[in-house]
Amino acid sequence: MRAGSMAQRIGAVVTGERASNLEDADNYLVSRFLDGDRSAFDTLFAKYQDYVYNIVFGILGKPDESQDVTADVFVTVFRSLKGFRRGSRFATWLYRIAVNRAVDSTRSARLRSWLPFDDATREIPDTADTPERVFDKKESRGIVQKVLMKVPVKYRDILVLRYYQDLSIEEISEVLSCTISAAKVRLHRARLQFKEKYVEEFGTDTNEPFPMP
Amino acid sequence: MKNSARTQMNLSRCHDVIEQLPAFVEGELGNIEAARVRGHVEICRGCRAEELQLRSCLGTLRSVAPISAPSALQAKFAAKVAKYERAPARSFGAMRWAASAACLLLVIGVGATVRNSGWFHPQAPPIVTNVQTDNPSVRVADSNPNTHNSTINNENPGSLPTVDKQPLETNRVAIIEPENPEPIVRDDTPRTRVIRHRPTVSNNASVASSNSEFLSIRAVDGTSAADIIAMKRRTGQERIAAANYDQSAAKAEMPRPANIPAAPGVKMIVPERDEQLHVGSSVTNVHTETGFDSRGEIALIRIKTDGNVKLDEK
Repeated sequence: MRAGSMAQRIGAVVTGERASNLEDADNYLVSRFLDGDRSAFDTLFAKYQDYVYNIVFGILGKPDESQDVTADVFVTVFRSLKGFRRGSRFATWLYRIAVNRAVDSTRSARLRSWLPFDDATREIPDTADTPERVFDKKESRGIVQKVLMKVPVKYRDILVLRYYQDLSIEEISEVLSCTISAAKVRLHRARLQFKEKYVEEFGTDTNEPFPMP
Repeated sequence: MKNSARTQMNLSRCHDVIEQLPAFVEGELGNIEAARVRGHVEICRGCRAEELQLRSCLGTLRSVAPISAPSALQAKFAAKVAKYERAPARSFGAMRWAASAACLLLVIGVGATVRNSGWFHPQAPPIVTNVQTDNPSVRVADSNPNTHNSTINNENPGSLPTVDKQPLETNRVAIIEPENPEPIVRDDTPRTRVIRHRPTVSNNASVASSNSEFLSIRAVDGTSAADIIAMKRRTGQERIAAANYDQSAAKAEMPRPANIPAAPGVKMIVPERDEQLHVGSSVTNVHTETGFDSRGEIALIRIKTDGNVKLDEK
């Protein structure tokens, strides 16, 4: 997991730590929580809330619903942490819950009713960049989210994990509980789907960099 | 010819390259494969355009800035956790036990209902009927034709039997007892003869008995010879079941009575030949009696078996 780079990108608590150290830290926090230390879970929440929210928002595209589902994800983790196998990665387990909950939410008629997703581009939370960059990124986020919502959910989740969460194909296969080959195929199709929807939405705005023979 | 072959080869190569373009754009191909794709897109306008589109949209996708979770998320999570902790503890195991107990009670209740309803008789009772012959398998109970305890109720088949005061000139009252009375066993084994459609209740025939419990089989529509209803009556309750017995074979050789009384309802009961009814792998001897109404149509059929009464309740 490229947790270091992702942590830098979103300014998470654990910036600069190596993945193995992150896993050790997660397992330590899980152990402390299971031993009765409630503050350990607060630390886990603070550490992963942005990750989970990005996954859920990427799949749902609606801020309010995403916030609700993200809270539900952490409640689920809170309730079922006793069943967590200590040898496995906490982050993978958490992301799997987040993806499943978000995908389940897309299936509900309540969430389907607010298609199309124009609202999804309206409420982009602030980041720590300069105003110009924030504007560009908001625009970019809005564009991407708009296209993402036209991609089928089975491809949307893998794109979110790959491009929002920066997970490797091995980590994606663990989160989605599939083989690496299946994850590769799914990602390939997801990219093609995204490109197709992107072109449908914005046309083929590509400048030829050099004359062709 | 050469140009055509070259074009075909290029098309095939384009297809392969386009398949690999997403991985190429993302830098996920090996060196050799990447060099092959790069060499192709430098000379192929279509694949080059495809590559630029992919770079553009995937670059946009990659450039998306992560967003921070809303500040209200923590409060919402805390509220949900508090609600969860306030709720009474319900473990999945306890719920599973409760569900199992509910299912058990349901099964017991249904079983008791079925037993009380008369669907299941512990023993085949004797059949009291009118017969017209000196069949050696029947025991004569009363030779007085004015005291029949078996009759036909044309109006209400569900009611208790009434006494038919009109004597049948040649009939004698007899009690047919099962030669080997055994419990009626519900047998789900597929029969060789199956009634295709569901029997319906009819008023044109019924069976009466002095006993509160009896088993008889009657024809709903004697002319069509399609349905036989096995009716069990017990303490006033009635259940209708379909007997896996096809009347048509017996009807084909059924003798027609020469003299039919003019009174309504069944006026004549004729014992028929014995048949063998194949039930699964076993064979049951079946003795059939047919009652005719005033029009000479079949209105009543009674069946007596030599052992288990092979009926398929439905």
